[in-house]
Amino acid sequence: MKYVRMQLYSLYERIWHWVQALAILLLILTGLCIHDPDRFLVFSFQTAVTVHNVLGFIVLGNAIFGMFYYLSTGTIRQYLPQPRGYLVLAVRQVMYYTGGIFRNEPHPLEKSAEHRLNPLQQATYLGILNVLLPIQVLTGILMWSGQKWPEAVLSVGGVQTLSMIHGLCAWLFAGFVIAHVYLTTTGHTPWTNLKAMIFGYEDVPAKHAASTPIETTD
Amino acid sequence: MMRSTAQKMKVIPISSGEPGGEPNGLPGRLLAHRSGWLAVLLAGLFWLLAGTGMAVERRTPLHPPVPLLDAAGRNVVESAAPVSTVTTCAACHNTQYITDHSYHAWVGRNERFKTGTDPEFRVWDYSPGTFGRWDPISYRYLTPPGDTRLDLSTAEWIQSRGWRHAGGGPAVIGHGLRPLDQREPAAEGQAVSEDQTASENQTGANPDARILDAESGESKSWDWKASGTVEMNCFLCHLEKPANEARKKELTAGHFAWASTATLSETGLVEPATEGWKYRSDAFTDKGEAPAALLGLRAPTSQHCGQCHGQVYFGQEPMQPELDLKQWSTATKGQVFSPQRISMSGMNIRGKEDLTRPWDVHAEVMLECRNCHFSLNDPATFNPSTGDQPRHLTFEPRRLATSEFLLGPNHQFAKGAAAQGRVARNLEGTMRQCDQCHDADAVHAWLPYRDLHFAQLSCESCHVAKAYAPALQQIDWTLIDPQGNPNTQWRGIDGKLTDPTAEVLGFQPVLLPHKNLDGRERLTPFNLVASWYWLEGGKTPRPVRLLDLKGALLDGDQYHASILQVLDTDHDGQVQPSERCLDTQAKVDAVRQRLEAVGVKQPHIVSELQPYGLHHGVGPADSATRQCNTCHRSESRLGQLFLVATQIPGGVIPELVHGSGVSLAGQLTVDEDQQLVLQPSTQQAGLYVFGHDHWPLVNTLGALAFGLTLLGVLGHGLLRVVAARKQGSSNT
Repeated sequence: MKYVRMQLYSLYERIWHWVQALAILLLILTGLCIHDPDRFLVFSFQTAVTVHNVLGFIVLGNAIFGMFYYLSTGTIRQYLPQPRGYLVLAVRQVMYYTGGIFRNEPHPLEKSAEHRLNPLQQATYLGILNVLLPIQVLTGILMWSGQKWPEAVLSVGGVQTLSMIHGLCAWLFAGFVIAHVYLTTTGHTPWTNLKAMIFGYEDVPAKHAASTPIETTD
Repeated sequence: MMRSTAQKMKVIPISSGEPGGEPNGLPGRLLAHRSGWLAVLLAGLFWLLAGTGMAVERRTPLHPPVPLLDAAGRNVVESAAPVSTVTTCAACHNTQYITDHSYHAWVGRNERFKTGTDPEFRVWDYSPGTFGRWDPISYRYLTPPGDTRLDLSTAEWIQSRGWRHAGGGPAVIGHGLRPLDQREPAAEGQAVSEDQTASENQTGANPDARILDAESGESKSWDWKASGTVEMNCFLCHLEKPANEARKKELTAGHFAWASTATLSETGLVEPATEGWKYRSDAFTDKGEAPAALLGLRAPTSQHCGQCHGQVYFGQEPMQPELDLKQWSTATKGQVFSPQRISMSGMNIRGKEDLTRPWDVHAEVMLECRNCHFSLNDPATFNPSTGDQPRHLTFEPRRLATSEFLLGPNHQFAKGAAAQGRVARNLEGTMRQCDQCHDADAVHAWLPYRDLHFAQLSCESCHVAKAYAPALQQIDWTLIDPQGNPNTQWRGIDGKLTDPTAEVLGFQPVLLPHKNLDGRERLTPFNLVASWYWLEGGKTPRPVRLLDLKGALLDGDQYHASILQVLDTDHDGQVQPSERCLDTQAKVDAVRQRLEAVGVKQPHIVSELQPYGLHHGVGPADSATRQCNTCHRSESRLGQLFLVATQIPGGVIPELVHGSGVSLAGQLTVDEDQQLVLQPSTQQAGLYVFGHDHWPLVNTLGALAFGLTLLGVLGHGLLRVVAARKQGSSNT
């Protein structure tokens, strides 16, 4: 089978992704240390809090830079589901994950640099980046800022409420990470998607290539 | 004359320091650090000057000699009558102003209210101070005028509780307006007096004129003209060596007028006589004045305060605290004000060899009680209310001159807002708070979320992390012993209080939210003292009189037969300590029936919990709590189980007293050993402590979502592997 090498992720996108990935993993780890130090304390409590706070701001900064990048380059469009035919494509994607993938059927999405997210990914990222991440960042900032703006914290129910929301979102993030890592193995080979996020390109079967390849191999 | 001079040389304040102790005053200490040659030089100089009489003149304190006067203004050397401090000191000081402005004298007498009208107090309380506010530790009820039955009368209040009273106020006028010794005796049941009374009923008990006879149970009249009254005792707090034991002895004996004179007994000016005291004329000057050097008049030291407030020790020998209720603050809070290292203590404290910290760091740096609890018009410490000042004024330069202050020193002392104290609440917040001397920010740079910690925790939470002396835990009056004493338990000691070999463990106070003066609740360390007692029901509930308790439960120096029968569960004819508790309904019923038999109406057991805030016993910085995981963990210090009581008489769970400003954030439960414990709750305290508090539902839902995701992924992955293998084999 002929494969074509397609550029899917720019250098910035890959750096952005791995910074977020590392930061979120460490946030979950330090968050566990803070949440239940008796069971998960890897660092001292104070270190865990400090690292958690720093990582939180790294995620926030990275998210802001990412938003600027995606808006300015128009890549944001990749994340916006197109209403036309979305449902059909989503159902097709679900059918693939629940049946086609076991029969080695071709991936329903014809991946290209301009169209690399399937409908389910689009919906998920829309939720993660527009709901979960902002809530997590906002609740985190408010808890961090309890020192400076205690009234602001009280106005939203105090640290109790914030920690409840923050904790719930953390669990959802942890779940997302598991699902996300697993789904990277659903490419043409288990490593295809991971490699793509490391090197930026993916070897796609020629018949599925939807855009101009950068290289063609046998 | 030579002896007198020697005495004068001995008691000069600048070289002797504290009353009754070793040289510990600041100048004394500084002198102790001088090099030897300087001491020798000074000694030689004094020896030379002594020969000329100049030494006495130079070393005489600022205070002039004092002609001691009796109440009629005569010199006591001539009249041989008791000293009247109010008359004596009035020669230079406005004693009327002083006595009028002293909550130590009035102890709530001037703030009283009608019983049952203030919801912050018990229904039988009628004042915020010890003269009208009942206390389960001292138990007996100071009967208000007109009450149904007499319990503790004014005279007996002075006899039994006068040791903790500076004199003046109710010890002069009782419940009325005129001095007690200037009234005509009144019979029980007779109209109380023309004076103001706390009760509307003017025909009941007359506590000012009568006293309860412990033997007969009848009230009899008290002869105030014979006993005299207790004036505010200036000597108690201003003499170099006040003879407090002699004072207390006179009070207990009912010789009230002699109490102030007895306080002079360490000066050499007086000596005991067959009746009262007599004056040693040779100790007085030719003009009949008490030499100032013998009196050693001075500003009060911490040891003066300790005479009533608790254990204060500035000696060099290992301290052996008196563990009894006479050391009030020590008994209720386990606090000791002393610069001595705990390791030096004479107590058998567990691990004391490592406790090289002082009992109180403020004592170590030579602070006195008065440095924080200062006279409100002292020009050196005057702190005007900011509410009365123009907003632009940052400093109020107008204050009394020293001479004006000495004429009328206000004896309302600056105070905080303690959970256990209610008297003079209008003065709460006048005291110097921790942050008015210490810049907490400057030394807490290491503390993350500093402002948050400061907003939620009192300084004492971390800086009084433990009390190293034992303290009262519970007091049970529901079943007195054959001597009429309650069953009292202490915490922080393994063994009997009276046993010097008993190991002292100290205790960690419970941290509970306390409403501070800024209106904010902060966690503050407390000792909780639980008490149980019988209450007589009806329209005017009152604690059952000790007299009635004894009458009901005792038969001579033994338990009444019906009580013995129910208490003696092992039938050995004795009531063992373990049997001495109303821990079964049968025991409760038996006592109730006996109380009813002696005329107590609707007796029922009541229990209350009094928090005592720990604000002293502060350790040095390195002994403070500073590890994050002390609080930020599951087994947090903030949620540490606190033993309230080892026995629960009648199964009655105590309720927190009203008006303490403390929230009992937590749950009182009976553990498997049938002990009453408090499980503090940070959530009930309005706190969320990371590492300690959790949202169980959130964790459950989150873990469920995470687990299902993991399960789904693993299942899906497994199916893919199986499918891939099948396809591989079919392709083959």
